[in-house]
Amino acid sequence: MSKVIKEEKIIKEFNTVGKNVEKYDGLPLVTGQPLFTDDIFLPNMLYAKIMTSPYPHAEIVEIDESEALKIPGVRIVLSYKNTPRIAHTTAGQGYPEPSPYDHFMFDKKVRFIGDRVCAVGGDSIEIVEEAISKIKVTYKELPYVLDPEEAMKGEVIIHDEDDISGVYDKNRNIISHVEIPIGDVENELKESFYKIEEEIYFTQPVQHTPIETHISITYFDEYGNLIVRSSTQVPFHIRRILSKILEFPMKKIRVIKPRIGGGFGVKQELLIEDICSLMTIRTKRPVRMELTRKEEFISSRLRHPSKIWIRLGADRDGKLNAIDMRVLLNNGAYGTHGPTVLFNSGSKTLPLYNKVKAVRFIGDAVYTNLPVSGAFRGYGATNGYFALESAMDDLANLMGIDPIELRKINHISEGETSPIFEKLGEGKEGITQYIESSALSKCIEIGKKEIEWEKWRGKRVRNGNLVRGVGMAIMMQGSGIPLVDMAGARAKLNDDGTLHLFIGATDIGTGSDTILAQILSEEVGIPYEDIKVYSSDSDFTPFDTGAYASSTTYVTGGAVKKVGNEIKRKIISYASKLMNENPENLIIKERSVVNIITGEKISLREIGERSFYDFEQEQIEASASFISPKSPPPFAAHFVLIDLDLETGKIIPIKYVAVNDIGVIIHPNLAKGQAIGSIVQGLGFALTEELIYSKRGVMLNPSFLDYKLLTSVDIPEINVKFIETYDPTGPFGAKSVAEININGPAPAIRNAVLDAVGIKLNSLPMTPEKVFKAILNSGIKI
Amino acid sequence: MREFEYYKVKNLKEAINLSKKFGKNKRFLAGGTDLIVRLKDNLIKEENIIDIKNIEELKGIKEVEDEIHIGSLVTFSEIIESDILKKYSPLIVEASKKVGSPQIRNKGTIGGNICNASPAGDSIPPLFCEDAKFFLESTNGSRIVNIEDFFKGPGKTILKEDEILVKIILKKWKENEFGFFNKLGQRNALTIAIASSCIKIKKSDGKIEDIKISLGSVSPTVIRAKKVENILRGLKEYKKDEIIKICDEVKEEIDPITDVRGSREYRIEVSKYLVFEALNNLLNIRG
Repeated sequence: MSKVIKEEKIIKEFNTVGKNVEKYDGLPLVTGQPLFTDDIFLPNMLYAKIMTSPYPHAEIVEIDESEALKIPGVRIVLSYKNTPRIAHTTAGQGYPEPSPYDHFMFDKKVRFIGDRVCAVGGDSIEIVEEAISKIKVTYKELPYVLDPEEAMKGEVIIHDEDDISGVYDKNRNIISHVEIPIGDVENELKESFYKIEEEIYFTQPVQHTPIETHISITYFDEYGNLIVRSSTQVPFHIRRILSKILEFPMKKIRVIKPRIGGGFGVKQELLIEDICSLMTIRTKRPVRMELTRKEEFISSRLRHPSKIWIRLGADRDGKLNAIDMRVLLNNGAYGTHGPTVLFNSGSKTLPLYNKVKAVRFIGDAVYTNLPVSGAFRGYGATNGYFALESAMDDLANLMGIDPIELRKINHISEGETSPIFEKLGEGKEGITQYIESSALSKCIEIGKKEIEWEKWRGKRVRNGNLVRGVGMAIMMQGSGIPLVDMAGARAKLNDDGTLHLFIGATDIGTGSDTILAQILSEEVGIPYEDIKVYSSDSDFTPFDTGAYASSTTYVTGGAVKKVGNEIKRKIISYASKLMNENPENLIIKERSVVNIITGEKISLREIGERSFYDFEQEQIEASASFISPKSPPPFAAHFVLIDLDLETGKIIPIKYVAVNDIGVIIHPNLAKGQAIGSIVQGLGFALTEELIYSKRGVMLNPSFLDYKLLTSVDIPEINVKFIETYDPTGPFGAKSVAEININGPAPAIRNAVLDAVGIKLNSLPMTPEKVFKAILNSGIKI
Repeated sequence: MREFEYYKVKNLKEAINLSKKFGKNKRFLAGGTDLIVRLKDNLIKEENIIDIKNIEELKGIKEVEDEIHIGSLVTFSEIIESDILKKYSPLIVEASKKVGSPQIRNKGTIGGNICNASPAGDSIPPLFCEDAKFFLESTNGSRIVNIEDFFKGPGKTILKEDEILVKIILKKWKENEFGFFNKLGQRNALTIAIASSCIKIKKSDGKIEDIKISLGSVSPTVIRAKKVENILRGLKEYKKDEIIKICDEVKEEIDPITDVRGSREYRIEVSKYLVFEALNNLLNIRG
């Protein structure tokens, strides 16, 4: 029995929730069962590949595929000449999507090096590659622009098509613009005793690097249904967008998501399913397309590179008066996720310091002729926190106070709200939120102790070429998108007394199948082992928006808890007739319905069996949906101890402490895995990962050789701690854990460097070369 | 991947005869950690692959009087685990630990690392400090060359078309010899050096009797920093400021490039400190 203790009082007791039950798909995964998209082979399968643009910006004058079509085994070439021209967004978001409709399956224009020109399907990948080398494309090169500030001048227009929509200002390449003033920021800044006048922070393009790149296999079943087997986070959005852009009946499309080798947001996108599907429709043959690692880097999606301006004003006693934040996002050639990532860089960060008198958020997401940015774990908040949490340390430095004290004075607490919640939503206005659970203060205290803050802070302990520093950052995220994200769940009782659970939710390696079964088990009162989970099949499972926005535990969990309650009620009601007893005296316990007065019981197996064959026959089943006006934020405080090598500029993380309040924890090991995974990805973002472009926009390091992910020997000791709170709106008090922890490493390390040597590193990643240059410029004695 | 002819040879003679036949139009396959990657990326234009993995004459680490002979097919894992090398030539052991990842160290060979002739080859700087000699064999017989005469530029060596590196010959360390290898990469494993430095010192009566300094990734080939060596030789007092000043001279001896891993300027500046840090680990530097 696990317990949630609040103020030394046990507030809830659970049977399954809070236990490290065996991961639902753990055994088949570790024994190598054929679970992934590519683990099937279909006879007569075609292989497909996209031919991409060698120019950053060009018009396609002519595509001559005649030589390619002469090669034996080449079956189909798709281009703008033979495909429907229907404007859409590739973003897998709720309908209507906040992203602009600026993308066509194939266009007469290419907008970055790596953009789609045409696609070839053939009997083998070698044949297809040869065919692509034989296709002659005549381009008319156009002037291009790579820098978003240049792009906003409008000298080069990247999207001049008449048939696109949802773009803020095509003539200045602005996808989305926002300006939210709350109170008088200029005046509050002027009146403030301490001011951070203007610090500018830069974040770099990085990729999600899932082990499994994008892959889809499409085919027709015996009834003429188009089956789309795909590595996606959003099967239902894929079905909807496919139907629209292929002009193919939705009824005849079935999207199946098998096990997934990582997503992190890059698979919240329709990237290859349209091409495979259209080739299957045209050739009637199965079609397989898998991106190579190089294609995954260049032609899928990235985290938005950004430039962020921050101004802060505070009283003598450290109370923040004003925050002024301006964000400029480089969206690359298409606007997918632009408006929402932009809004989230403010909406997920600014409420953290809710006591300000004035706050302003100005932002632009801008087109350039570079590879495309999209959704990435953290979704704008990661960029925003690097800037905001760095600026908070700059302010503490200026005031000469402990940065922890500055945060304690100003951070949001239980029962409070921020006007930002209402003003900034998903590319539009948001919804007022009150914080119903927060252990942020406690997270800070515990982390401070764990990292031995007092021992290291400000001491600049030097050991030869190494100087020690300690830094921290605090953060919050959300749990789903309020009044947008909806999930359905269905459950039925079998004649052996077990339950089947059907959910649209998309387990992309997160463990959502496991924790959703735990929630059903807890609610109904049957063992976890007695539940079988079917998920992510657009024909057989109910709708779910998908795996993004830290939503599944909270939103789908909410639906599963409801369905559990409903089927429990139905089982008890049926049993009450069998037992001739008032339902109020009956509970489900030990695989039986038990009369709490008499102790009489009847097994679930008997109930299942009799409901099928001999007494008031019916299928005992239930379905439910969940949508919430809330998105309770999880909170975290991160601390890092580093050594800075003055002779090389190398930052060596020694110890990392992340203290989380994610509500009640459903599965501690899976939650810890999410936290550690986020921190490792965040450390790479902070220290080594960066995609580099030539002056023409050629990506120079699209491989694991030159794009430096951290390896196991680069990772410091990571200590994740959970302070459980009970959020009254979440299933059994749960919030979310998928994204929040990616926001901490960059500002915490940056602040640790500030502590160690007094240098402000405002541009990511903090590579040895960059740090070394800063050390030389600062005149510190090496 | 393009098509190629694959030959698996059983002995050195067969390998040499085949390479004589194909001339430039062939590549040797030893560990394959580099070749296979390039084959897959269509970067290999040669049409014949000669697999030399089974040639016994190229295997093994042997003590021969005051020398150690390392076969060119010896893998980095074998080097790391070799008691002979740990005892008599520990620098090459330390450098081998920095090669790639466990998988690469299990397959990659010292001969492959040398013959690829990358200025960033991790095993090469220690071999410069050891004054290694290379035993080569061709249809014209065998010859021994000094390491300093072997490399001609990035990817370029003096190897003739039908010539094979058979073994590497090192002198056993004496009691008063010490060494340190230092690699700076973008991360701690699976990384190509931004710069590396290697130092071997012979001390007597508290002074530097002899010193050899080599640097990787900062010139077209791995180089020796002989000017710095000359200044340090005979030194008795080790004051930090003075030593750093001496290390600064290394800038005159290197000629790095700018690439995605680091700029020329950074490589120049950091080389000085890599040399200093290696010295710092070997000498009792004060102040």
